[in-house]
Amino acid sequence: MNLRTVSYMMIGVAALLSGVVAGARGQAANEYVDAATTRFSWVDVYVDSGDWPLAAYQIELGATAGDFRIVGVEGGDDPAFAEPPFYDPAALQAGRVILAAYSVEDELPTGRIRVARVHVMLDGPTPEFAAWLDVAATVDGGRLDVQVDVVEGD
Amino acid sequence: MRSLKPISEDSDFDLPAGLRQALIHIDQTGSDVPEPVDAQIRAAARRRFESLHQRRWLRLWVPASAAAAAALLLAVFTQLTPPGGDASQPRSKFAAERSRRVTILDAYALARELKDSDAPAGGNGWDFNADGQVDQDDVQALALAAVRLEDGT
Repeated sequence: MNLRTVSYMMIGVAALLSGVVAGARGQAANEYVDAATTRFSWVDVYVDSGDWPLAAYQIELGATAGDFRIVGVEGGDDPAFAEPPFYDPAALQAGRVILAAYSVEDELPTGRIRVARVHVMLDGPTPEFAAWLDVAATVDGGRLDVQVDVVEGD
Repeated sequence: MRSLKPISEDSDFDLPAGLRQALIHIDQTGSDVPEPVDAQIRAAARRRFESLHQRRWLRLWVPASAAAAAALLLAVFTQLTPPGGDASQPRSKFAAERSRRVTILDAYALARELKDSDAPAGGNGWDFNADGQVDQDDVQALALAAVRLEDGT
């Protein structure tokens, strides 16, 4: 096998792999075009502080895959966190948001509660939403290692 | 041996007179090169030109092949790497940098101080918005600082 043959084989393999990559990209683009109907949904954010009263939380909401746009933020179910959490208005143009709230009420929730509902606009395939805990605290300011999860709306 | 166009006195070549005469002499008298010598010369010339051809081919195709392979690898890595990074990481990639920033716990701490006392223990150290007063505006400012997106995206 001389150098000319080896080079031809390399060019052939490169062309073949380029075709595979281009095909994969084309397939992804077709999926996007096929599902490119703008629609609205929401994401509920839950915090589970166990037996500890939840006094403050700070969470980042984003997507591990796919894109979305935030169109509004509501508060949660419990009276202590019924008001919409703090968030950066710039998040309305971004694909992620930091949500944070605190309560100095005497009655604070325990267990798993919905702390926020984030309304989103989707242009493509449904994203895989995820939430990450930044910090959480109980009534005396002591930090809590709470569980965070999200539930997507219909 | 191939016949060549004879060189004559009126040829267009711009040659020194001595060389021109010598060439005309050789052309007219002929050169009696034995066939084995002629064959060796032709074989050597063939080997020489094949070597030059192969080297030219290497100079063209090896860099071109390497460039194509490099471009392909770059395309594969850039297209197949998810833009959000490693999705298997349980924590946000921004968590570490924010751990050294203002968090909602700062706002919560000041809110508790203001609820319990008109004069927070931290004094003017709580004057986050630098307006000379420690009040709910500072709580708001701390909370908004905690949720600010650093890169604006």
